[in-house]
Amino acid sequence: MSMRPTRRDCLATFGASLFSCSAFHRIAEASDMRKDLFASAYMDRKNRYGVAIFDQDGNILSRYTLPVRGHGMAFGKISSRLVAFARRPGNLALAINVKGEQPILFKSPSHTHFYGHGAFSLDDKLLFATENQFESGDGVIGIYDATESFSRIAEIPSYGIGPHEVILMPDGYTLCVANGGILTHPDTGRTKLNLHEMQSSVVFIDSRHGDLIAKFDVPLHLQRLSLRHMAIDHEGKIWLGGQYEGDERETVPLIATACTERGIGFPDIAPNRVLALSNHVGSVASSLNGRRVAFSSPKGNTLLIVDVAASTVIEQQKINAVCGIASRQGSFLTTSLSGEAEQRKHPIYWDNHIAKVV
Amino acid sequence: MRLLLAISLLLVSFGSNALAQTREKEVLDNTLNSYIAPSYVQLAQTTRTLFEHADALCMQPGTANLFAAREAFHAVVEAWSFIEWFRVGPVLRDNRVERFFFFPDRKSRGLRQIQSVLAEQNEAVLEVASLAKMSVALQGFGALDFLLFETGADGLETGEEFRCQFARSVGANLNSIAETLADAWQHDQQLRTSWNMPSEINQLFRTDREAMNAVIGTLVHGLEAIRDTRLGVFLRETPDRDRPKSAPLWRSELTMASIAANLEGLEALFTQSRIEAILPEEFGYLGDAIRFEFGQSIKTARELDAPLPELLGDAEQREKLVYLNLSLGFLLNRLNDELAPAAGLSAGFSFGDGD
Repeated sequence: MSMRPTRRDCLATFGASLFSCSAFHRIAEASDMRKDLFASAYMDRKNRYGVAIFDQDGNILSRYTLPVRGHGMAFGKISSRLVAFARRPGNLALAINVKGEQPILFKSPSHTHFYGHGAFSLDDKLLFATENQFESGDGVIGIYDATESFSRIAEIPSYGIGPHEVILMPDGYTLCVANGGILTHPDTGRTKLNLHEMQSSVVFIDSRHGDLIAKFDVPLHLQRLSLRHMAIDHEGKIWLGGQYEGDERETVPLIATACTERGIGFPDIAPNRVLALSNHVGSVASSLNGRRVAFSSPKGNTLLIVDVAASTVIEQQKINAVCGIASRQGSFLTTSLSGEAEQRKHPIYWDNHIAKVV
Repeated sequence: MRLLLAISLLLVSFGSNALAQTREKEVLDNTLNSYIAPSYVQLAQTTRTLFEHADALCMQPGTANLFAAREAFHAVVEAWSFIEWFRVGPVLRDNRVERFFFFPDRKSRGLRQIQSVLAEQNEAVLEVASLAKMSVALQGFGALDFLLFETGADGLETGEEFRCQFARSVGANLNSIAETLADAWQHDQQLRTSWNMPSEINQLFRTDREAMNAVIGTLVHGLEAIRDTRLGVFLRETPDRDRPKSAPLWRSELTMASIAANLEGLEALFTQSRIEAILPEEFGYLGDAIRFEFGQSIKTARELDAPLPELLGDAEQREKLVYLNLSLGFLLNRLNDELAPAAGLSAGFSFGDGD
């Protein structure tokens, strides 16, 4: 057997360069003390990218370098593995075992790139990633073997263009995907190529064989509304946040719900609350008990918390450049694009999402 | 004593806030009155002229009238490119951006549609009202680039009626869109106020910071788009991978003119808005530094005045295109890493561009 390091080994070493035993001890210690731990991608002041793990007070415990800008993450509770995905049109993802193994950097195949989000199967053996098959423009869900090396073993359609966030439903096999509807191609960077005919949708897919369970299009009069981010409430209903690509003077409902029985709905949220979101929801998270859902707008510097039973805003906070949200005991933890994690200000820019990792 | 000190500090702070707000209001007023409204007025005028020349060509086919129509198209391309990356307000309604210039069209759907209309002599394109409801690729620059310059355009000199009427209809369509935009930014007080009076109930901007974000965002995203979708589509990593026929407006050889006008428009936005006035004194150097970078890029783009295959086939000229690409990167760094933080937009500007 050759002792020459493989390309994958080299990539793994790259991802691990900032990890140390002391970081591992800090994570273990925090875990023993039953402190909540979180992860988020970031860019530092020298434009270097990474993923950081931090505690509920915003103290950073460890960092992992990323060769490209990260976006969303998936965490497997059984495997203790965190996967950070590159944002579009990146094709790299970093799998980190928060209990100390070497990180693994892996790629999407050459015909796709990641959209920045993914989800583990119930047993953590599979990883589902939203991807763009960019020559055809079709959205797909890449399926990766998460037991060892994250090799890509299959792909299923996302039944729309621009699949963004994906979550696994409580039944353990249904995937809910928010197809943002916006076409891009790596040849033209992040340019949106089809705004005049974009069509966002929410789909439910049987992950076992890729069959479509249900698909719901955003209604025609909201054609430029892109539903991207979502969370699930205690009754299994999906709550989505949108980004509007039309004239910002038009007031559109940015908060939507979806379920297989009733399709897409738009709760009657007071217009002044929606206005505060500046037509852009950057992240959505539900509370630990699933009875509240939070929506952040880094453009509007606003965090809205909605009571899901009453479909009303129960809290509105002004937080500069807020985007990352995660549930924690009694409230939501937030990060900002300008470097705040709770009360701590770091000399970095946090990316849009937070994953709870322990 | 402490109380007095506190009161004076409060007054100083209030005073500087009020001053800052005034400066931001001035930036918005300047942008509106010196860049947005006049640019759309210019667009309306050039499209009117285009329609008139296309009409004259149809009435009296001939070399001189074809030349005049082509020149009028050139003027419209320059006028549109000047304001193209300003993506706020009415231009975002009714697919106006795409109807003016749908690009890039990766799968050449527009080309096939235009050829099909010509082959079938589909008269629906001859009425502006019906054309306006058809594919965006039939309604604007893509169609005129083909109709006025592609093989077969010489038929316009000898009275090819359908082709000419199609071009005239596109001219009328563009004029209709441009007149709507010019009228809105000149006379719609609600729109004008939404631009220059941020407030909690303003649908466009709640705060001055959001408004400044929009101005700087137009510069940053415009430059990114020029680099990625205008230069990048034909100037590839190595000469053997260059794709001159993927360039915007390659048939009319207006590719570089449109890129130069794009840059001139963004430079005008930067200079006319006087956004540097909101910067703290120690960043006073930035205005001239950014203008210098713009100047270099514009000069390079204007000097590259030859058909693309010629430019790409000449090592020295191609090198200039590569330099232009690099200089757009320098400009973006200036705006992202220096101007935006100096203007108090603390998150790295491009970093907050959403996803």
